[in-house]
Amino acid sequence: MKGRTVLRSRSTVGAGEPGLPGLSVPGWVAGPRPRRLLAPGTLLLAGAEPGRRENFAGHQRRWGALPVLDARELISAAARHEVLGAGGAAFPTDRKLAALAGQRVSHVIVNGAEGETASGKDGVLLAHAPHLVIDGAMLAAAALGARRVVVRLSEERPDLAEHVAAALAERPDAAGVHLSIGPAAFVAGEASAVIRAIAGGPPLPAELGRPPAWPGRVAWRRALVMLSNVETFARLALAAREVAGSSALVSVSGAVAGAGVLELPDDRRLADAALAGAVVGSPDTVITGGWHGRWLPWTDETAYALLTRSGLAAVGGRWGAGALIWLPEGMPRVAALAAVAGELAAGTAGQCGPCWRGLPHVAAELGGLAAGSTDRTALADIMADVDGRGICAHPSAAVAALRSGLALIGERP
Amino acid sequence: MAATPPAATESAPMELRVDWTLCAGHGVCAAALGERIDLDRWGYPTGVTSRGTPVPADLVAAARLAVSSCPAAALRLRRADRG
Repeated sequence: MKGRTVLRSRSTVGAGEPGLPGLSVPGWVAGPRPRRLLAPGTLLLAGAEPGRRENFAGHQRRWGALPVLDARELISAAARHEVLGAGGAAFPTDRKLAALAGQRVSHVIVNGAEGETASGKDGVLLAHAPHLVIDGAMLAAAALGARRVVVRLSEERPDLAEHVAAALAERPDAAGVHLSIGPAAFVAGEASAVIRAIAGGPPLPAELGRPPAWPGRVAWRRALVMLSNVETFARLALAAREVAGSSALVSVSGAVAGAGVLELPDDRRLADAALAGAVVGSPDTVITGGWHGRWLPWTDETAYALLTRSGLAAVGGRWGAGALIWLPEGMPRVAALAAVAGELAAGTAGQCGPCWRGLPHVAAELGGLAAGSTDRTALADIMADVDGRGICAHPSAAVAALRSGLALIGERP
Repeated sequence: MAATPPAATESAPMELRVDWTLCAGHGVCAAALGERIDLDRWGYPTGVTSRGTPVPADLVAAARLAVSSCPAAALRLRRADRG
């Protein structure tokens, strides 16, 4: 990292901040976190050797030089190749770029905080193909006239900081790209929390200015910021080069032989991900879309769903950031649900009452469900009191996820 | 407290917003604007959101009282047409 600014937000670690608990994956649910690339990919990670970072020369041989595109051309490329926000919101990147073009944009932020513990794809991309991600961010910065690019990472991944710093050192064109390290908390990766932290504030969700007209378009010091997920920038880099094709970048964990990340063609099905991820035993439940995702019965119908946003939605699932978690065979769903609820409650930033009071209440009631001491109607009422409140998506998304799990349990756990 | 607002803003559609990061559940707003605000099981106001909830003209005075009485200064009343 020599000679390169490392922005460390004032209030990250050890600064006497009230501790932001990380959303630890319950060991009995997910086992190790999905951080390894399990096999070479098909597009972004085509030919990638697990554990080996592609250097700048290799990157240029594979993809060619960084093209020069103005805002109109980049917007058009993003639209043609249907680049969507890959952090979970799936907001069309061309619309985000179009909203920012022609305005004063100070920063392009690559969100690699990956606070979703069931996801490992962003880390895998940065560890194997960092230049593709940097390309995408530099294309956006050039098109929007932003002077700085900031790659935001979690303090629990110093290895990624090393990969990115090494990649930046290889490039003659990346003087405006910087690293920023933040805490490893679930909500610290939320877009407004990242922007607020980089602006020198606490790494907590905020309402930045008026309600943003679209995700990522937020006022900050009277300039605007473009923030997108790591994978989004990698896909933007391919779109700008007119590389056709798409892929499904999924993180598999839970009842699998080895938790990790896979890139498959997007005509594959959940069963293919289960096979490639080596699902163990005969699970009866899969959580699609991470801890904010949807619980589905692991049936033939679910297994046959296409590994796409629409394919998952068709069976009641959610893509989110592409995280799949199979509950281990024999684990009662109600026990898993209570534990996940506890983790979601622990993931609160602690700012908004209905979230930090409400989610632990929900978790406690779910804990009573197995014992039969919880009234389902009362539980539904408590969940309704959490839903739709607070300044970030965490409380509502947590409730939506837990409701889908409850629906699987049926009337009698 | 209940000063008559200027006529220009009186007719404009108003909306009430809560900043959840400031709200500490004192509950004063429910007393001032009981027509719209109840308290949930933890004492936080219902009937008001962080995105803005329209306030009909006949409740604007009560909404102003709720805003000025909030011990946490968590409520804001503003013209709905000024995004």
